[in-house]
Amino acid sequence: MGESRFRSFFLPRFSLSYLLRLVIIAALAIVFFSKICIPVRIEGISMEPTYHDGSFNFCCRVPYFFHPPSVGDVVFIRMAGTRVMYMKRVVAMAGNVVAFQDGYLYVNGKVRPETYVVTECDWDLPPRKVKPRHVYVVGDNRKMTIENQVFGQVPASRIVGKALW
Amino acid sequence: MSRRSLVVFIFLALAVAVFLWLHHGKGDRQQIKENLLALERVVSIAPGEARKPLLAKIREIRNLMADPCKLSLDASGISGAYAPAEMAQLVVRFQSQVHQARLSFHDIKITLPESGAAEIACTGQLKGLTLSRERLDEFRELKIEASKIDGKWKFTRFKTIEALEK
Repeated sequence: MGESRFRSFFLPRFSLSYLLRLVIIAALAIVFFSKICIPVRIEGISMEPTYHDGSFNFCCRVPYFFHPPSVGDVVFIRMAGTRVMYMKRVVAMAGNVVAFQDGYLYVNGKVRPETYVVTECDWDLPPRKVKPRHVYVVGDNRKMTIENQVFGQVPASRIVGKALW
Repeated sequence: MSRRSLVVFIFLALAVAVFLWLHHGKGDRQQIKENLLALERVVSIAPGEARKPLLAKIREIRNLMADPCKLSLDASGISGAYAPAEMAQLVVRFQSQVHQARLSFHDIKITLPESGAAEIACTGQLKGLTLSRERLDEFRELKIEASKIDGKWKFTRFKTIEALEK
């Protein structure tokens, strides 16, 4: 009896209902991992030390079904599609004035504490206002030179989802 | 008609519809995709691979690019109209500065707005190592235009789209 249950669980009879179950599970898995929770391999050092080169994460779209991105979120930004994306941290929202002075991030003229930044830097960037429906994103790695870090304001519509952890 | 036959009929009809949808205009799209793959091979270079002479590169590029082809690659400072020979020189110069490099195109979406013209949206990724063993990992969203010239699809314009604005 036990053996027969074991067999029917792991080696079920190939029937129409089994095929249907298989197709439904495969379809749900494809939709889940391509549209809702996209697996990503992190390449590059722009988010060090929070996220390491070669590590693994998921781009989770669910949170942004209910609310827009907020300051502090680590987000994925699409290019032509979602196969290759930027991973950055949101530091300011539309209408904010952003600047870097002696390595410190200033938002609306006040220093914004960044607990995730562990290295000192000398970044300087004149103040600029974030456009409507845009957010300002930066990588956590400030050891990189300001020229080598890709950062700036990006249309909120390009944000695909949030890092799951 | 039994229920089972009806299910099979609906399944077959759906399969035929999906097949026709996927193959609509595939000839042109397939040729353009093959040209993108050929371009990947022209630019990429494996470690230790012998560098092709300039004339061979010009021949390869002439098969893929219109004369001239417009480039607006903001990040690299390359902008203007380039003849195949000039583009081949750019590729040869780039390959002489790297130990290895691999160009790849992802998320390719091809639209054919009118007969003989195509617009391609994709992400171009360039990975590799410089001669000083520094890592090279750049990617940009690209807008590419192509035209059918003498029965062959050739790229007429490459433009990078900067997603982030400092």
